[in-house]
Amino acid sequence: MEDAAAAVGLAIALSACTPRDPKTPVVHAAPPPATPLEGGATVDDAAHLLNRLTFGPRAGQAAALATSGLAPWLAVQLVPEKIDDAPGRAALAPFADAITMLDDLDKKEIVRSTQMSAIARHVASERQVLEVLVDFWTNHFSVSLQKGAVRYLAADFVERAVRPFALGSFADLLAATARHPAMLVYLDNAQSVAPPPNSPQAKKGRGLNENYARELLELHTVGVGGGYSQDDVIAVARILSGWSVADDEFVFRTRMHDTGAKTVMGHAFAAGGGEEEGRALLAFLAAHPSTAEHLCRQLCARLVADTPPPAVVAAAVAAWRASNGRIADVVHAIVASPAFWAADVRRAKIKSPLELVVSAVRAVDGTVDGDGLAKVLARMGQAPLLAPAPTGYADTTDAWLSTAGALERMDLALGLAAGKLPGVRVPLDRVLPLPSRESLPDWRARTLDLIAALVPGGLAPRTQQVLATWISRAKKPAEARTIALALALASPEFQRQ
Amino acid sequence: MTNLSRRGFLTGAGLGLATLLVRPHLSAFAGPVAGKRTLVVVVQRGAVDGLAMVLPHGDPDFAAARPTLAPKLVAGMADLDGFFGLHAGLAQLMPHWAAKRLAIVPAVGLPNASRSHFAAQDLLEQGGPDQTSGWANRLIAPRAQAQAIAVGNTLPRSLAGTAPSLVIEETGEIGIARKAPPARRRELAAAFGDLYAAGDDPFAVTARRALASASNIERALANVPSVVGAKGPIGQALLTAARLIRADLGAELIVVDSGGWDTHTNEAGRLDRELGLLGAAIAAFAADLGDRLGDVTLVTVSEFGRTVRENGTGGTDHGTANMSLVLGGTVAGGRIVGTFPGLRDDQRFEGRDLAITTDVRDLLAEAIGTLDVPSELLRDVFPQHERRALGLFSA
Repeated sequence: MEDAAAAVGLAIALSACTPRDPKTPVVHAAPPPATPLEGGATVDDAAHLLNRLTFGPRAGQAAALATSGLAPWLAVQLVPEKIDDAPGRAALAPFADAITMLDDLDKKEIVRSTQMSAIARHVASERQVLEVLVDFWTNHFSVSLQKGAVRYLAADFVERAVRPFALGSFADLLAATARHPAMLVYLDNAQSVAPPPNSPQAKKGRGLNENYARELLELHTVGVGGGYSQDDVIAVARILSGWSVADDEFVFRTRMHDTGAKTVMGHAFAAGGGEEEGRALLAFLAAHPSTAEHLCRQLCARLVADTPPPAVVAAAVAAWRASNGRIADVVHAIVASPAFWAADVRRAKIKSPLELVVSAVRAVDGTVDGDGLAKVLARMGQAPLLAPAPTGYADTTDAWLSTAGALERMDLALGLAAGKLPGVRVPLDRVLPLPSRESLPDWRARTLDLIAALVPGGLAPRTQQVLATWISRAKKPAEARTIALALALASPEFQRQ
Repeated sequence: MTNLSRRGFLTGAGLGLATLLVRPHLSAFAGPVAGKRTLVVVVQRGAVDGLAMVLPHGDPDFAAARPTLAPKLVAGMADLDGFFGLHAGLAQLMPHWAAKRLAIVPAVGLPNASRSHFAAQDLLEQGGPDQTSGWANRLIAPRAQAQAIAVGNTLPRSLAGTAPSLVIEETGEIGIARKAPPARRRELAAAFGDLYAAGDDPFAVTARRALASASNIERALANVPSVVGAKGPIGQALLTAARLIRADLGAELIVVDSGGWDTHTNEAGRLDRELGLLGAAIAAFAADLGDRLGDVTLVTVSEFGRTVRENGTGGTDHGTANMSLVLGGTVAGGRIVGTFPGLRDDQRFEGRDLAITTDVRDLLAEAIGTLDVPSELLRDVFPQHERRALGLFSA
């Protein structure tokens, strides 16, 4: 906890000296809390924080958090190993086969178990900020269950290459993904062989494969405008030639490796560097200023707004530099930035299908016990670990606002509200009890309040009116509950975060 | 809705959700849009054995490569030109061949596709490498009046994106709560209709349009009962497609999913059944359309072809190029369009597969050319692709 507290202090200090957007009013000495993180948080502040840094609040969570304070919660969430995550472990149990018993499962079961182990933990884990970052980095370092042996390796990729580093050092995360067999297979580096004369093993039909090298630069680190050329791509591929896979583990194949000297973005690598020069390359890329810019912008796009305010990106970049790319520090700096709390970014993003599905299940306190949600997400076009390209899934509102998707979102809401969505148990009678001794009008009013409270930020007056109309129109309380809850989960308000 | 959209266009990004570009689709499948031209793309998922669909019986290497399979496949075939024959299951399409409404493209594919079903389907649906959206979405999304419908369970990746596309089940069911009784469905549609009835929230606008479109389609379909029968999912799907066209809803593109083509074992028997259903489905589709076939083009595509040689279990394995059927009123048919590269070892791709001579993007682009689509749009539909004319359609 001390580390976290120190990090928090550092990040706050850093954000204070961030260059200001000229339009932001200057804050004078001894100001009131600059952000709700420092005190005085409202329920709406808490809801905004939970909307962005978790997979959505549980019922009542925003109100409780506003009372207990946001900063302590965030400090704990940023050191996830301090949170005993029994619910997260329990959620994994039905799908643990994906990680331990691959040989006994058929292909479809492996795909579903791997997807469900991700979804179920997003729903249940107490380490919610970690879950959001695990999802962010899994999508950033996208691999696909469709590609050959990746099917058997993807669950391990998330567990060993992404999850342990998702809030840690980006350099460690990058190194772990680069060496993981899932990535080496997915982007073909496992087959990349240096051309002669620098390598003895230039067999017919084999040669340098630039696929991983290109995506490493373009997607994983410095980004398209990051200042590299095609020559740099080739140099990176030569450096990483020989990084391959044997028996589902990383292996460095000396005979496939290019032993010559290389230069990447002006950085020289002397001849004969072997496996070590690959590690040095990854460290160089992780520390490159373009990487900080590129990834801070993407993190802010996920956590703040599709086109993030420059001030919050600047705060994130400053934290990245000061901490050598410690992700928890960057996340803290983003939240500590006043731009994170601006009125025009609140509820300004439409949830992706994954965010919608998980937040809806969390809102009604649902438990995942089957693979129905993987099928729902496939229908919605965001099947976990099946992005069609190495870019992963889009994280912007325009990518997910579609007519076909809108109908799917209504059906999801209906299924959950009726307790009939396959693979999810919803304790409807606990979340929204049916009337016992109270009068029907009292029950209707209370149910409407309870349902409105499930939507972070609440429901607009017009939406409440529609719910009230349909609650009173229903013949039986159970029907009233179903239709009102379905309308709330399908409401425009609940689609936003 | 239109005002909001216009404001959205003018102010652009930066003001959050309120200014999202919700395009002014004025007609939400509201119809009727008489005489609209329509392209129907049938995606044969699992990789159909094109060499069984259109049999190169005149190539001596065909029988040699398939010693047990070839005799079964050619039994009952309908000869086309002395070299190719249609599988017996497709023989009912011969009148269209004779009337020059049916053409065959004999070696279609996407260069550098994987032999993995999913990866190759992704590549096909994205319309080439390095695309993050589907080719069909890029065709529909930029134009305000354009609309597409997918027949099947899921919106295919070719339509993934911002295009106002809808999914309709093979049986013609569309909209929310499709399993619920009609009265309950009407009630739910009314409730959700209320929920999204007002306001300019972008999701509400989208949802409103989705509900209205689904309900328009449902109502319009009720007025155009099919005049012929159909068997199997593909039969139902293509009849639904024909009815969507006859209902004049204005759908420019209809994508139909067809499964069951991954024939690693006992191929002859399975294809007798599947191709029989496909042949009957296409024949019924044309019959149901009647004169409207003049406004329609139907194209079949598959993610890749199958091996020239039969395997040890009476089937074929994942290959490269495939055959496409092209049917329609403006098709310059009754002929093979494109080069058949031959089946000899040295004529094959990597010594095992039918080699590609026609890029599937050229086939689709030419079929799209029969729609009222600005030709410069095709560059965005299939970017980084140098188009080649095939001459599939009469001028």
